[in-house]
Amino acid sequence: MGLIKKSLLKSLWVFHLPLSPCNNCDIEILDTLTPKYDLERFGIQLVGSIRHADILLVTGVPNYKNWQKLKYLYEQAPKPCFVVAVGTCACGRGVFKDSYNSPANVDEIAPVSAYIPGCPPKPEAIIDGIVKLINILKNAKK
Amino acid sequence: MLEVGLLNSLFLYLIFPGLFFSFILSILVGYIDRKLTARLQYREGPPLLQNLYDFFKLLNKEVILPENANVLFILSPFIGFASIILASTILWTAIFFKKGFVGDIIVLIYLLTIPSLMLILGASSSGNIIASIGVSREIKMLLSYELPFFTALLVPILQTKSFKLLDIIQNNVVSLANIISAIIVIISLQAKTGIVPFDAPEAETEIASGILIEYSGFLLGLIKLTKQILFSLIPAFVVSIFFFGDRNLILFIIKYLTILVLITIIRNTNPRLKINQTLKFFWYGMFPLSLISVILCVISK
Amino acid sequence: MKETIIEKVREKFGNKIQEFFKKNDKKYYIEIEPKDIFECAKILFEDLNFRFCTASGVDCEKNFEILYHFSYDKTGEIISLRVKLDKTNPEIDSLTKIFVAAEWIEREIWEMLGINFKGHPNLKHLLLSDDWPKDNYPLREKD
Repeated sequence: MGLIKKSLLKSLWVFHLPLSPCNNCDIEILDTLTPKYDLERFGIQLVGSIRHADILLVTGVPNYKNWQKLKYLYEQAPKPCFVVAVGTCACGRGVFKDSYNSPANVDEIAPVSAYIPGCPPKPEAIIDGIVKLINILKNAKK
Repeated sequence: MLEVGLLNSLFLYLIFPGLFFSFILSILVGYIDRKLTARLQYREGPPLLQNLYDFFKLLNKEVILPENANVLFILSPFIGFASIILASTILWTAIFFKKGFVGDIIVLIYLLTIPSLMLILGASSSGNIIASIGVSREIKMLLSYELPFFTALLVPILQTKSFKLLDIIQNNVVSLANIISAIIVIISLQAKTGIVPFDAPEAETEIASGILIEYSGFLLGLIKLTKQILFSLIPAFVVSIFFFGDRNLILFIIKYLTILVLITIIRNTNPRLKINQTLKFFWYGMFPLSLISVILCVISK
Repeated sequence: MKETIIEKVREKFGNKIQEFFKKNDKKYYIEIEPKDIFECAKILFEDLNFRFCTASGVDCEKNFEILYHFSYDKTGEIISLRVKLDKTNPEIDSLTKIFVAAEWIEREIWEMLGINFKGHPNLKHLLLSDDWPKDNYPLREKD
């Protein structure tokens, strides 16, 4: 694996994108970034600007007010950028499938690379999902 | 004769102790800094080459140029990078090869200011409102820490009565004025690099990385590399000017590591100061202290 | 013996009370006519020092209901004022002149159930998007 391709997998910068969720998934994402699970040893850092991001962690159900913003933010992130749907709401809308206020799934608006179901998923599950994403990318780039 | 001089300077600038050496040194210094931060937080840290992976990943990312940006947006990271490499070359040549020219400490001070100025120009030419908040904070900080920095550096200049870096390095003196100046220079250089507790312009998630918000790809990589090289110059600067840097190499490395560990511990035990607190700290705290040290130096001669 | 706060409330409301229901020591439901809501809220807030917590709107079978919840912070008792509105033309006085806090909750009840609040300064969408179709009130029961 070339140095540049290896560098992408060893230094993934994460941007947190909540689409008005109930905030449980956001609390679990916050847990994952604390020193107890120590994601910095894999090179994963939380960044503040969308232009620095490699992974978009999307939580919540898109509704009529913010599905456009998800589309714009995905276009503003420099490629290669991977969208990861955290929580059942972002994976397939869960119990809100027939709700009056949700037009589409997240993967009908932006291409999702990994789904992490759970309500909310434990930090171990989130780490497992990111590791699976890294393995897929490792095999695909060969 | 001229060709030999040109080849020699190119070697100094590009290979050792210029671009290549500063790059490798910044990766090592970044490793020590992040590993020590991790250990102080009871966790493992990133591996040795983590900064290298960050830089190469950023080289491969797409560069998105904002619509309202002009050519300064692209030029300013390059100019900042080139000037910090030149500053690093001057300093390490004086330490290792013992060569210099009259007035090179003034050139060094000017060159160390250029990365902040270039960041201000580049961020304000990006056309983003949030970047302008970061730019206004960076300008305020520039006006606050430069004055104590220069005034504190007058002390070794007055003591050796020359503007040549080599003379200052070889004639270090221990006195109260020198110790006060050393403390002021360490703190001012922390503000110059943008390390906590003085990183209000680049506050992540408070103003969404204010001053760096529109940069992406290899421009961001250049800016971060500039900051890392400046961070690796701080201990070398302080040790060579105040703490007898020209004795043997092992002692130099030990003093270098001590100052590096000190800066990292300060970084981990302090919160980020607000911009008005930073201004008050430098204007009402550090500047009178630097004036006192200059007066002490003049009196005791 | 000192008069409890709930006795003071019954005294001040007088014959405005249509129905009084005590759920437990800390929760009381008082039903009043829609035209009396402004005076009753004023009595509770200004004379007796209750705090307005929130309001909840429900679509029941025969009519719309709005419950206004007030809390007496010294003892922790909660009084809920219930008003019943008919389904054909639901409207009621707005409480924004007494306390500003009612502004947003009345906007939400309007956009979800279609109840008109007379005298509200800024009746527009709060949670739904601005291009939501008119006369489409999501929380009304569909037959």
